[in-house]
Amino acid sequence: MRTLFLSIFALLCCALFTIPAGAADWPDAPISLIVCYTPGGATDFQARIVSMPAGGEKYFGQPIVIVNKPGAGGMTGWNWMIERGGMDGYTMTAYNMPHLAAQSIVNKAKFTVESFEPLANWGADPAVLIVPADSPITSVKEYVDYAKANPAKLTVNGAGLYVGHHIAALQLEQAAGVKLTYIPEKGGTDAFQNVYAGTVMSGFNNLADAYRGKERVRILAIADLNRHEFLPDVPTFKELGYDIDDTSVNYRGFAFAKGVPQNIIDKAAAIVPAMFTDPMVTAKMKESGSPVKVLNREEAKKMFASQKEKLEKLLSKPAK
Amino acid sequence: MRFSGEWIVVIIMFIVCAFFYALISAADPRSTQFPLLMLVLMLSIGALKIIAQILEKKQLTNGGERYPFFRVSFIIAAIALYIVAMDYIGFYTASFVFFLASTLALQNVPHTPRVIAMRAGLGLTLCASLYLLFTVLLKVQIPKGIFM
Amino acid sequence: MLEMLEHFNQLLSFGNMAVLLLGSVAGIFFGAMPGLSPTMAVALLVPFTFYMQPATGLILLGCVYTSAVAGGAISAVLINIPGAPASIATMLDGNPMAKQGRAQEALYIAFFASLLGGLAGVLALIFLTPPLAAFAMKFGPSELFWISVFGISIIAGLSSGALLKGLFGGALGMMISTIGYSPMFGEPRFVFHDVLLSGIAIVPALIGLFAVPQVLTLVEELYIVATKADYRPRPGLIASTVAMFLRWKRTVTLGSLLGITIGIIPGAGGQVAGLITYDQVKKLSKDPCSFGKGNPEGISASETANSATVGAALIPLLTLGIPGSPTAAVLLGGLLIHGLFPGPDLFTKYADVTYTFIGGMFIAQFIMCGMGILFSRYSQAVMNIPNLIMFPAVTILAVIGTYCVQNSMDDVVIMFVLGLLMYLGQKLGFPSAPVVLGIILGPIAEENFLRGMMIAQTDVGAFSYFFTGGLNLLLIALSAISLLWGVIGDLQYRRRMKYAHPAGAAQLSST
Repeated sequence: MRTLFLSIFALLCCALFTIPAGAADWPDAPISLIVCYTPGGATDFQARIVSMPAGGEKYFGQPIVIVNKPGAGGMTGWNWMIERGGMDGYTMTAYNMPHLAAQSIVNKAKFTVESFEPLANWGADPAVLIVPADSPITSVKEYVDYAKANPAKLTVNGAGLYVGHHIAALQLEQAAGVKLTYIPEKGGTDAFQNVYAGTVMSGFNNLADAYRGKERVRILAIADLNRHEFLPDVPTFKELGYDIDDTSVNYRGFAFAKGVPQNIIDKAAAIVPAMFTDPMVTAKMKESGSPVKVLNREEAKKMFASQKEKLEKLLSKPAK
Repeated sequence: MRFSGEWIVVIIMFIVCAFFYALISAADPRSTQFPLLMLVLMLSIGALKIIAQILEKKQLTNGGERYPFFRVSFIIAAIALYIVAMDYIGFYTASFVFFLASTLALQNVPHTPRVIAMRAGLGLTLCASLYLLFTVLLKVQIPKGIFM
Repeated sequence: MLEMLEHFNQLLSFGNMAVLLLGSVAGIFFGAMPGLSPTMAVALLVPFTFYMQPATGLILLGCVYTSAVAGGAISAVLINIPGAPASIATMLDGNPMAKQGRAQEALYIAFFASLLGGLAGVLALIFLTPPLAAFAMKFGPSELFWISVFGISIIAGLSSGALLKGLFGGALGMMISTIGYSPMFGEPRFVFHDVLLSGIAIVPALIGLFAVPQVLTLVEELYIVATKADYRPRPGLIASTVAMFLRWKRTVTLGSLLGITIGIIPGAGGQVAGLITYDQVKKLSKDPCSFGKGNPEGISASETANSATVGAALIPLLTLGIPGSPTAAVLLGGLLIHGLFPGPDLFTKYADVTYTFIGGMFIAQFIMCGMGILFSRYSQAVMNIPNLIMFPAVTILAVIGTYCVQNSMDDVVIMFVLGLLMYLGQKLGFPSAPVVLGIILGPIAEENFLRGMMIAQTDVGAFSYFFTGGLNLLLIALSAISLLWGVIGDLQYRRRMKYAHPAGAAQLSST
């Protein structure tokens, strides 16, 4: 009996520590940013860089705290966002296109592209085709010729299933009319390592990783609409005559789940792109070799819609 | 071949195998390769176990003290309740209540106010230290409920 | 090498020294808490390094890494719960020693072993980086597959007295590891409840399989009051520890070599280096039966190996940008945030940062050992805490430790359910360690097997891919020997128990 009373008393005491919830002025508490990948990975450390200035007065005035929820290529974290992330504006997530769209199309995810409200985009990491430095293949033409001569024998890897790299590989298969064997790896660094070591014959990888390791592999082409400033000598597939656009480019940015009040969305949508263009962020992103492309909310929404459309077309074709 | 507790082990082994077999549902055969291989391994080990049991001489059983069934079940229930409650009343609150309730419920010394107060103090210290470490210093997210 | 000495005075700056001390203390503390693994500890501290100088920030992370790995011994020895998979083997002999009143001795041995192993790892980093990095790259899917098989084969050796149950546990662990989305093909397997969508993560499983049964055992033995051992520090312990190590040259060498080899290979599960070394040392020892009952050599084997993996994991990280362990992956993020790209540049353009960092790692080993020994002086006192207080405290720590890994309540539920099942399993004689080994090595085995098959089919064919090549054959041979030895060891163990202890034979009622 005494135990019961004391427990209730203790409970009431703890109520004194309650953080007041639901205030009128957003934000008045730290914001959680759900990163759906493991700490140390590209999305994770880029998210950390771009959210560093958040506590400043001209931005949120509150820090952004990174919460890692890795698993199933990102699906675990995004599923959680939709189901259990709060709609009070204190839970954001870092999105990855085309992963988000591809997973919702191909797997039985609990979300679709429409479940998210993009706030702003920070980076665009295109896929590049790499081969080991000592590979006999020195150009995309030789690559395609080899693939044509050896159907399904040319191995190409990427950081997982239905991630940008996989999409790029599927697009190359369609554009060049060849059959490749795609090997999904556990992550970008794993994939890069296996190309470097010659375990697989080629790979699609992030521009950022390839740029940082450009002495160790040979970069054949970039799967984007234009050449990139980090690698000005690398031609695009389009230049070389293969119709591959920017569907496979890995866009990253912040998003809310649908259902957050509109005024909070609007307020955040104004602050986030400003934060992304903060000079310190720009400098650190460049230092770490991460390509930056800032889009505001309207542009990001358009990007969402167009990427989703392209992916639906690509992935509804019978592919591997 | 006499009945000994070891036959329960065999039965459990086969129940586990059956459980997993019933759940294998992935569409792509390549995804089921590995689990099926494990299943085969487990079944083989189960079969070996049966053989070993048959060959084994009768074992003397260890007479032990009476197993404190109620105490252990109570704690299992308490932990389950603690985990569920965390989402509602918050991690630190739930931890404090759990600590206090379980130690007071199970102790075999009289429940004097002094003892209760000391326990509460200990629980508070523990929770406060964790709070300082995780929430204040490391800013780690903890399950939040209506309290904390 | 000489370049390092040039940067030494930079190392001795106030900021760096402060960070070394604080980092070591923090690391040991994190490592000692069950559930806070070294990976998490480093990940939690990365944001703190944003505002530091690159070298200082890296030294902090490296220091925490080193000390957290070593600190896992504390919870392993004192409360029978491994702080990380690496500490499982330390627990097997460390906890019995603590129960015998020799906690301080056990921890001294652990930290000293960590010092020796850690130094070996860092020395490899300093002197042998180029050849070792090239060596690490030779490990492709087929080699990794055989390494995981080798790791699995030690399950036999770990289950002395309960061979079939141990093997079953290992297979079950591997089965459990497949729950969730299959990493290669994205298909859900065994997901009969939403809570299992993200699969069974290693740390929640580890805590569940060890902490929960331990808590329930404490509840069972609630009123058993052990004689309070004297917790005052014992004099002359340091000297006797050093003396013991002089006898264990073989163990330390083996531990260092295995730790470096396994730590260097990305994706080989460096967490099990401690267990593998423990198993080998046990097999080579004259008195294998004494392992598991408080043989201090077991602690030295395990701790030497898992500290050696720290320096080794940095080798492929710094040269190729490929982390040798999950914690090194977090360090990679830390490097990149400071604009330091792994590769030759690190040793030329950024040489001062890099060499200061490596120098810092070297010193960190000594500070870790010193701090550890300081903390251990009164460690026996922990053993005197009554079970009544211990069990809820451990439960609370286990819960928050599990939650913090992936910020997921699901993990806590999984932890608890797994723990309950393991508790029942332990009552039937199933050991926990093989299950954890299965959970860790299962994914490595499966992924590399499938990946190897996919590549092999485009190339030389499955058989040739997996069964040819010097490294493959070596690993296959090692696995076969290990498995055989384990089975023979079990039979010998049972024979000895029967003849030496007729009463013990009655307890040995299980296979």
